[in-house]
Amino acid sequence: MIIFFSVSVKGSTKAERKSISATTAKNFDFFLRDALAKVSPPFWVRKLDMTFTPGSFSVNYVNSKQQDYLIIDKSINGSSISLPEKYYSFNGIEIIDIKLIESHEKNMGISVEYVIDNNKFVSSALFSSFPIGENDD
Amino acid sequence: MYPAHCSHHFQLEKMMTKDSGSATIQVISILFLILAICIGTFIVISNNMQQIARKKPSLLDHQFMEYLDLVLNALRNDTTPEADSVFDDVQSLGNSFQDTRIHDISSMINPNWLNSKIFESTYFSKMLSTDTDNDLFDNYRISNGFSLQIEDWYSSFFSQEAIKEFMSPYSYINLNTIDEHILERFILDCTQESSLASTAKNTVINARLDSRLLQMSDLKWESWYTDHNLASVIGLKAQYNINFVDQDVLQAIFSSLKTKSQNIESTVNVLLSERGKKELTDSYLMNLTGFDKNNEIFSYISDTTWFWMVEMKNDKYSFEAIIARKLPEDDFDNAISSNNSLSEIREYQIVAWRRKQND
Repeated sequence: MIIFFSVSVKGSTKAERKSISATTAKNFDFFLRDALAKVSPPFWVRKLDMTFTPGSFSVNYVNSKQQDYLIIDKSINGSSISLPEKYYSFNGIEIIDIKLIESHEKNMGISVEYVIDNNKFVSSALFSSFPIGENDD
Repeated sequence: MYPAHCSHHFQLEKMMTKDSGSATIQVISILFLILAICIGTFIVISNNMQQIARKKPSLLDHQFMEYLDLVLNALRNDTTPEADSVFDDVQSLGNSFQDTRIHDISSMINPNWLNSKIFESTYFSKMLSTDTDNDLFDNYRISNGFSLQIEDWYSSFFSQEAIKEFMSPYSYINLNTIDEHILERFILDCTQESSLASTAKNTVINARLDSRLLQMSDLKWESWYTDHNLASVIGLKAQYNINFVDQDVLQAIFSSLKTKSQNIESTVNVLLSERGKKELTDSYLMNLTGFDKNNEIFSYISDTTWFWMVEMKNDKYSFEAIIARKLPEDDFDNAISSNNSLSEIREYQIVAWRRKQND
């Protein structure tokens, strides 16, 4: 009976942690999509100013403004998404990799691979606009 | 030996004890069962949540993207490729969706590249706020550049109603119609090189001093144009599609021409009436006006739509996307004569999209 209880409690705890991980991932996914949707370079611009380092990413043209950046980075307890007027912090999210989503050599958005409590997730989000002549040089 | 009543009592006690044990086991079993159900439910919910969290893109985004694919295919495979109009197959797409619409937005006024001189003696001047004028509007653009967010960027020049009803930031630059100073600012923004911007301005000024329209053959030798990938946004194609352009804009363009049409009002009325019956083409426009293909009118008006807006709505969300038809890399007529199929020339791409929750 003790074993049964122990297994039940362990199972319950594991399920609870999985559930918390999934909820955190869902929130992160929502805010990531919301933030990336604010990246809206005009169709006529030549290039976006994008930088990638392990676990971080930045791009300009937030709300179509060349000088305004979206930054995804590590924070003290996890990861963060920052925009000129907003800052979101996500405890317990460890970003493993950030990749560009490309289509016909155009930068469409990013794909973020991250871990929450040993559970791996991938979130993909698109910019809201895409320059016509980008990378045609 | 217990007396008979005692024996009976003992048996009863035994039975009661037996029943109590059985009840305890039953209660514990039920508790375990409830616990197992709770854990099971919890695991199922948590797994579902993980699945929901992992679901990319969302079902609605996916539906919209599928619809955009249909639109792109219909545009690429237009059965009447010589012109774009309300009679094209793409206009009747989307019956399976709750509320869908596709409409031309490049035939609206683009305040970014608008040559205010062309419209200064027309209703366009009346759209400008009373405390401003064409010169202030031009100076503002030359000093500050351009924006996709025209509601905010031009809020001191136009009312929000005028911007929403008549304007769009989506159209390509036509070198024969843009103001040379606006062009200079644009090239500067794109290349960060003032000498290139100045050369581009001079190319346009020189052609105008010679009273001639620039041709693609002129641009092939201009390094500011060829070396900086500007051909994807600057060209010689007319912005306004005769099949969609607003009546007042059409009237303003005809009024601004150096070569006047015999009777502007009647020409405009015929065009408006005819486009409700069939797809109008450049050939039709030439026949009606008597102007040849080299007339300046074809720097403004043609039969092609360059930017489309696609909308899809349901009870909760609204989706919008902008589709651009790419400017041809070479002269359109030359491309046809060199045996390229029309479907190859009709290249489209999505340049913007958004999803928003309905109010």
